[in-house]
Amino acid sequence: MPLVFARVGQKCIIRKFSCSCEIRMRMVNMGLFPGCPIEILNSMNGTLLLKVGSARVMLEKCLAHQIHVS
Amino acid sequence: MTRKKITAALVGNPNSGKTTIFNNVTGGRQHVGNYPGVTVEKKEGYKNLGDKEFAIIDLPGTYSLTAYSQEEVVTRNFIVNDKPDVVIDILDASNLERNLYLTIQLLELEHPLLLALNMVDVAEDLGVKIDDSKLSQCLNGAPVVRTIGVRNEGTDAMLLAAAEASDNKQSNGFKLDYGSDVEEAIKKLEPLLAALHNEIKFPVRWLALKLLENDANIKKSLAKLSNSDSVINECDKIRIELSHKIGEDVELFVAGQRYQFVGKIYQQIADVRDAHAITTSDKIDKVLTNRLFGLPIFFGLMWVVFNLVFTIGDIPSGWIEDAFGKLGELIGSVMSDGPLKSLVVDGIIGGVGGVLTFVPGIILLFLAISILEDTGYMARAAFIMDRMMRRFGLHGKSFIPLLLGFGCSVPAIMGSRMLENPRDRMITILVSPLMSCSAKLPVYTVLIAAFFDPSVAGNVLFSIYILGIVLLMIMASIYRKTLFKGESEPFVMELPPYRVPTVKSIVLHMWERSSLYLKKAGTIILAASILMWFLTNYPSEVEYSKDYDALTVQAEETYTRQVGEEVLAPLNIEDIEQNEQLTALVGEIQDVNTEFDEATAELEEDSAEYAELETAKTEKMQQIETDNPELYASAAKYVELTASLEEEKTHLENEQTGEKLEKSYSGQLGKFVEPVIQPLGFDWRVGVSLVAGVTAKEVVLSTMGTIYSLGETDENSKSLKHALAQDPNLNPLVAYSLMVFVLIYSPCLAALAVMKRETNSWKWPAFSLLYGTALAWVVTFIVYQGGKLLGFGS
Repeated sequence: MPLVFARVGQKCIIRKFSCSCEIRMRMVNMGLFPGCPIEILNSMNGTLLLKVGSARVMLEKCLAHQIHVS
Repeated sequence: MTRKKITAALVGNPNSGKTTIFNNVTGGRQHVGNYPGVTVEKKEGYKNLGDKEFAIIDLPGTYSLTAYSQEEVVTRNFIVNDKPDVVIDILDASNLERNLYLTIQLLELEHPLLLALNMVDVAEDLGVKIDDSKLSQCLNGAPVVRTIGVRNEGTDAMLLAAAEASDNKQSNGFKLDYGSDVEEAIKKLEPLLAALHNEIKFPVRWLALKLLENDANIKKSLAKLSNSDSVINECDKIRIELSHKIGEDVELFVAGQRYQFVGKIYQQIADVRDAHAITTSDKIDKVLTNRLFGLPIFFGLMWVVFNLVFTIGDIPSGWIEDAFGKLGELIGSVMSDGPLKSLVVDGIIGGVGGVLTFVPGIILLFLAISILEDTGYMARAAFIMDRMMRRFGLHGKSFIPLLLGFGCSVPAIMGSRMLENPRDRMITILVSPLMSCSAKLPVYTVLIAAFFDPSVAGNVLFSIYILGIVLLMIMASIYRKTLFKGESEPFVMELPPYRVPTVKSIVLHMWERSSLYLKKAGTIILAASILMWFLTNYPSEVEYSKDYDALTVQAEETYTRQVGEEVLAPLNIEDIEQNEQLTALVGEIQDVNTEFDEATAELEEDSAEYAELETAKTEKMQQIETDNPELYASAAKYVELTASLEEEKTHLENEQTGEKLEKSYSGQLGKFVEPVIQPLGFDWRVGVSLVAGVTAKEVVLSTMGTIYSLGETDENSKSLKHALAQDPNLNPLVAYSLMVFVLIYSPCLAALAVMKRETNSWKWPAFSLLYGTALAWVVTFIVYQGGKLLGFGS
């Protein structure tokens, strides 16, 4: 399912991306790669605060639509 | 002793503490520049240690070595082209897994590499223990050291280890196995690329990998080589074949392999006590990025910053202004009169002083920004504002530079550096001068005081500020749809954990930026002030409509005659000093007058306080009169005559200055632009002021003062207000139009200079000057002509 539908506090694993090449690789470089476990810490008007490994990453709503997790 | 020179490049993730280490190691000995063609800062510092001299380069923070950001490209090109003796990879030990992802790619560049495990203390607090010897083992024996950058612990050992690593010219032969499919493709590519290798400095295996990843930057530089077309075509073929075989983009697959490898290493080397602990940083975030409190807290903080910068900053600004005023007087008294003195005192000292008065505000501003950045709050602020700014084509991070624009466009434009995407940055730079900066405010206040009733003054001022913001939103949306098409950068950003910043790093940060402002903008403002001085003072010989010198002499003669007839003759003396009582009385009356003038200097004539002081003065005068009934009338007459002579002389002098200005080059310029600004209701006088105001917006006011023959003028000037109110060409509508024009038209020279610096080209400042002025003309035309139609014109 797309990441947007995940709730605060939920833990999930990134499966695949459906967005353009450039932004996808930027996310991968920041540690959001397929197979990586993440946790949703907070959400503000749809913008997400994720726990990725020991880093905290902020993600815009439109990107959360393009990341599929399970 | 000659020291062995070693160049070391610091590389690492953003927020890995790299810059803290750099600052602590090099101290003040650093040099800041820009990489050619990009707005990435190039920082170089020096350190002597034992028999070695280290030149340390702080490369920009980067997550990876792909071609998706300027920072990544700068980093990899620097390592390959400039060949530092050693690369030091600074790793955040508390976030090691992702940091190692970059390490793998650095190893693949086949350059001597030292790993510095930084922030080991933070990691241990989080319950993470790292086995460095095992880490070294996993990476083919790459040397590893430990550091705590904020306390400057382990940095000397780091440099010594780096020196040792640099002796080892060969790379350690680390190779990551990407699986049979990718390895097969690499084998096919290597011989093709080896043929080109003389001309390209990147390692062949790395090049092959990048081509498989379809790296745009590498392909471009390959295409420049002769005979490379066939190689590129072949590479594309192999890449497409490969991606069919593995079922996804090679780029993604390769990244996945790297992460898998890193994950395996991490499990072997790290002992993690509690992987799911909620950190203090997370707790703070629960409050600061809270859905309800986040925004109010943010605005509160911004309010504090704003006040800090523009109220406290005003105090030292005043000192600097005074000091330069004194310096001008001092030098003026030493030098003999002439054009050189005028150039030094009015042109250079006035100009440099003008620049320096900005500096305290700028330093405080950078202090505030450094604190916000170093604590980690800036990243949160961008997150909080993102939604709101996006509505009109801007980015969350744009908010901070724009807010600073209320104070001064120069730091606003410099602040837009924090936006990574060049489109977002350009839009922010171009619209930020539309904020009403603090230099425009005195222009507004004088015009409003002269033409508007005090009851509406506040609303008029507010409407100008709002107009600026509305125009800013409109222009930002227009730019987004035309010149800088394309989506604003989707927002993905790492939030560094909150930290207590070190004083040293904040001070260094602040100084670095402030000195940059001084050097670049300072030289241009200085040159501009000299130019403006020339334009307003030359041609030096002009034909005056009246003989001012003769008029002055005539006034003096009249004065002497009147004093003789009306004061001296009745008392039978030739000079007032012959009568001591009279001299003392004159002094007394003059003292009362001076005291009254000083006390009322900043009061309105119709205010209650003024009336009170006036009554007190009259009483004092009556007292003096009763004490000296015989001499009072003579003394009062004498004082009156002397005062009116002074007034007459000042008036003549100002009139002469005004006429000289009218006939100077800048006056001619004003006359020249008059036809263009006539439809806006402006005459040549406004024209000169506006032209002069391009140097700095405050200058609009001081030039008007000169033209209206008033001498020195500032925002407290009552006389300019009266002179403006009496000018038949001006009325509330024209005054409002003028405010609108001053708000919008060309940014001042300092802002243009900084714009040139930030965009690396004269194109954008030139564009900004033209578009700003054109927009100002159009909007003012609508306001003025519209106002006239509605009947406000009289």
